[in-house]
Amino acid sequence: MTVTATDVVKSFGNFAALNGVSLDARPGEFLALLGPSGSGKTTLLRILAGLDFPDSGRIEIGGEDMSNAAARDRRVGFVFQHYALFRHMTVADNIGFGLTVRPRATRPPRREIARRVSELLDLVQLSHIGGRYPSQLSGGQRQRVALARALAVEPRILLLDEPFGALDAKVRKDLRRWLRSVHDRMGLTSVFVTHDQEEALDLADRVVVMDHGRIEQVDTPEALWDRPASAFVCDFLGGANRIACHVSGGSVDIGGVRLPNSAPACGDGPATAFVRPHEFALAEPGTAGVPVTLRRILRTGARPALETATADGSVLEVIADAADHLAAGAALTLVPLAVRAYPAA
Amino acid sequence: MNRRNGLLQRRASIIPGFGLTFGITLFALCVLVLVPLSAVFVKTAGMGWQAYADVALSSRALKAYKLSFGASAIAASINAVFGLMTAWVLVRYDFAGKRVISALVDLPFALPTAVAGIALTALYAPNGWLGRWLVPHGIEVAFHPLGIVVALTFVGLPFVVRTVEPVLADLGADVEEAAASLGASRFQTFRRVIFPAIAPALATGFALAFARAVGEYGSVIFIAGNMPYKSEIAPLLIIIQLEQFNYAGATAIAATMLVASFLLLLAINLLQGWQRRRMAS
Repeated sequence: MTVTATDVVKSFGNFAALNGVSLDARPGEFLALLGPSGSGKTTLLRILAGLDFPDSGRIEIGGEDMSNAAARDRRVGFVFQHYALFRHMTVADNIGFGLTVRPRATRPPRREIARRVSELLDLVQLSHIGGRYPSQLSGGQRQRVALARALAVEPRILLLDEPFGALDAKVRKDLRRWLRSVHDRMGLTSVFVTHDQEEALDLADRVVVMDHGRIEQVDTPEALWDRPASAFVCDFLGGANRIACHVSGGSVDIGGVRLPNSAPACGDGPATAFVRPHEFALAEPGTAGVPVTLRRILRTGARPALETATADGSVLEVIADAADHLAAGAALTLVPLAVRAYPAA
Repeated sequence: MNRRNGLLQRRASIIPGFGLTFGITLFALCVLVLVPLSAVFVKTAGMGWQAYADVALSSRALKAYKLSFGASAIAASINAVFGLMTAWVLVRYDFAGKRVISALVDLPFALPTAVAGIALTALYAPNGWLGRWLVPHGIEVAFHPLGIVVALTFVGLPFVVRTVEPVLADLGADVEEAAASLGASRFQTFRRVIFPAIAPALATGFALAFARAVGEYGSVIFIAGNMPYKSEIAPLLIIIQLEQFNYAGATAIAATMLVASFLLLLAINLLQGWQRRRMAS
């Protein structure tokens, strides 16, 4: 089912949450809305669900104008960050809720509802605890119940608001891979909101990067990673070191090292270069590059991460192949290998 | 879930001072509640069955009990409905003057009840602001049983609002939004999602408002008219006995009211306990 938002504007008092946002999700697509808090991503999702209404602009679901339709008429599944389960109902009753509130004419018979609930319990791998209450479940289990509840009404699209935000790292990762497989199996069109770039890149077909109520870039995770459209996107995707540089004639000068600019055209003059931690080579002091002092060596992954500081105190992080020969306090030169430069803000 | 088995089960606990605090609680409860109340029963027991029945089970007294408990139940029911609405408005919406409204809700707590009674009487008397319009239409409030209900509603309002408010706030708007996105109508959302969640708090609020109303004296005597068999409440009957220096008679009526109130409140409590167990949270 196609979901289209056109020129959506929304403000809360003086705060402009969305400044004319246009977006489309293709049938079967898994779309991520990524941005820092206050970027308008949750507002956009709530407007798609009919939980908020735009000041101007248009929402279409499956080609139908839904801009002013109430949430209950949109046939949209919504999963909340804090689950929003009905505390006084069992897991099974929670899941069946959407079917039991249908008007008599379209409500399935009781036995059919029970069958559908047990199918969904199987799907979310919770068949053994259908009789429990939400307060007796773990966070991950609750979120699976919330998902089953949303799927019970056979929604045309599935909207998820930071669905893993309240879960711990291990559960998050398992659950998001599982969610992706449910999405693929059921042929859903899904839009989910997150502020975690790793989650967005891991899960989505396309990622919508938002900031200050505007869309900065919409692209596949690969394209986003390789060709960030702006300094904001490059910065938000994470990890990149900022270094002051000078751009002239399309090439970037960092401490005497000249490199082609991998970012979209940036005019001549002072600029900010973004260099990712693995895009440095280590060299002896005195070579062309950025002179730094080694502060600490961190072992958080397969390769050691070096925390270094330039003469003016700004911290640069470098992933090195080996660090056994280095000690804290050593003087080094960092030679950038690839660089994205954007006009200095 | 661990449920305590015994009342005074001793167990190593991280929360200290169970013995001390429990002792003080019991002592205070005895001095403040149990001793005065048992005095009522001792005094009553000393008067003999026939004397008791003459005063406490006279047709005039029975009428007064009926009026007291009946009017209190009606007033508490009205408060349950409007108190729930008030709590809803205070929790769900932001508007100018919210704090003022919130403070107004507590006013019946602070106001001397006699003041409330006099104000209401002035309002509903045949020549009062409201009475002037209501009486010609045959709606007589002041000096009639309806006036008692009005006064009891006034003094009971804060109980429902203040017990329901925190539970409603805790419920969160997202459950309602979830219900809406699952296709539930506003009414279905209220009946199936909101009401079951706040019902225990509402029952508590109802019980408190009811208990307060049964014991209310000050505001009622001004507006009720106090006609025997018609608009005379049980607490007034106690005062009348006292004024005639018939202390035993006063305690007899008091003891009867106490037992009735206690049984009613116990029933409400048991009902709540049953519902809470059903929700198992």
